[in-house]
Amino acid sequence: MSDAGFVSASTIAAPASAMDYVRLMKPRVMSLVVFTAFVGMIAAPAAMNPVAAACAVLAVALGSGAAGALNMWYDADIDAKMARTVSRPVPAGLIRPDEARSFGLIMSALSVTLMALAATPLAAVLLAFSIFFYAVVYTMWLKRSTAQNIVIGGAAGAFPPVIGWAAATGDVSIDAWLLFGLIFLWTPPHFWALSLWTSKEYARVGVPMLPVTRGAAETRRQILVYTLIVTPFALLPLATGLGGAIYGVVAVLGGAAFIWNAFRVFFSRAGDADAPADIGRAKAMFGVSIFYLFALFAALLVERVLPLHFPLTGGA
Amino acid sequence: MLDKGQIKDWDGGPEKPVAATVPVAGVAGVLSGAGEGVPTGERVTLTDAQVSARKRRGQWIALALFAFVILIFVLTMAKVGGNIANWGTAFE
Repeated sequence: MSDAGFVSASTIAAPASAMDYVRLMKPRVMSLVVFTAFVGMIAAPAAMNPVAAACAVLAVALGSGAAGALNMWYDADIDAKMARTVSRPVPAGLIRPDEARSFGLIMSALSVTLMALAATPLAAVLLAFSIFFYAVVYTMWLKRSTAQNIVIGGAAGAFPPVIGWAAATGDVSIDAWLLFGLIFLWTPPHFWALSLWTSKEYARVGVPMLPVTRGAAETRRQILVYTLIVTPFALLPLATGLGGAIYGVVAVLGGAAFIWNAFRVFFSRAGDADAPADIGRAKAMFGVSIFYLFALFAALLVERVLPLHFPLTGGA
Repeated sequence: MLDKGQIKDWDGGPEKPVAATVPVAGVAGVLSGAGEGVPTGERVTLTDAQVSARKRRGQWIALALFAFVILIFVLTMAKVGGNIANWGTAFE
């Protein structure tokens, strides 16, 4: 028989390693998702069986990984054209796109099933919805169609503390929605700071990020506006009693640093083609935004775990 | 006679390469996997490294499935174990 029908083994990409599958799940995003979900679970006014709580956290991690895999599968075409994402497992040829899709779908089913068994039906429904929101609403629809993609799509990243809260209590209170709102309002200035120095690549692949559609100056203005909204919003948990004195100190000091950096970006020319030196301010803003959100949630965790929760009002 | 692994048509002849299907646009296209799995008559020969990588991946999947089963068992015991232990007292 002729060998004409055979594909040479050399044309097949090198086999993917276990690490490639870990990278497919966006481990850095997953760590922040797990952390905020865990804080939501701990801050909720209900105790969970430790084994069930561990399984619920694992379910959130798997769900986050599933959403990341589905995102990498769908975005493989544009990831292959951007320097920041070209080495991801799918565009690098390490994992086939259909394999990434199957991996994401199976992981989604496993994570939601595990959450339903470990915690509450509401937590499982919220987890399923957040995976759907990130993979379909944000990745497949909003990302390539509107400059408000990250504003609306930010809801996907805001769900984890609500899921954690629902896993512990079986319902969702105003405090859980405050944590949701905090991440939701934090996402635009955080991501737009990043997009100020990646906008050329987004423009090349046709993704309508704000700097691409409205320009760097408007992006700097929007970063400042959202920062001036999210920093006072972050003080609301003090009014409900969710956050105590430690949280208050972190929210005030972190908020001041966040606002300071937003003004530095606003008064700079970061993102303008003829001002490459100013991009450092956008990078500083990006770093501070991550630290700010992490510090707020870490404060809530410390107050509940140690416990050092000294409410400034008569709340929980 | 066909070689092992060769695909047969209904009439007994070797399968002929077929033209690629027209991709379905948009989300429906990618979700349905249109354009994938079109039989072309091509076959793949794997190197020893690729065969061993495939075997390793199979073992990881088996291990993950086993771990998931154990996890569900432990979770079930943790959640309802107390009720089983108190089975007798339920009728007192």
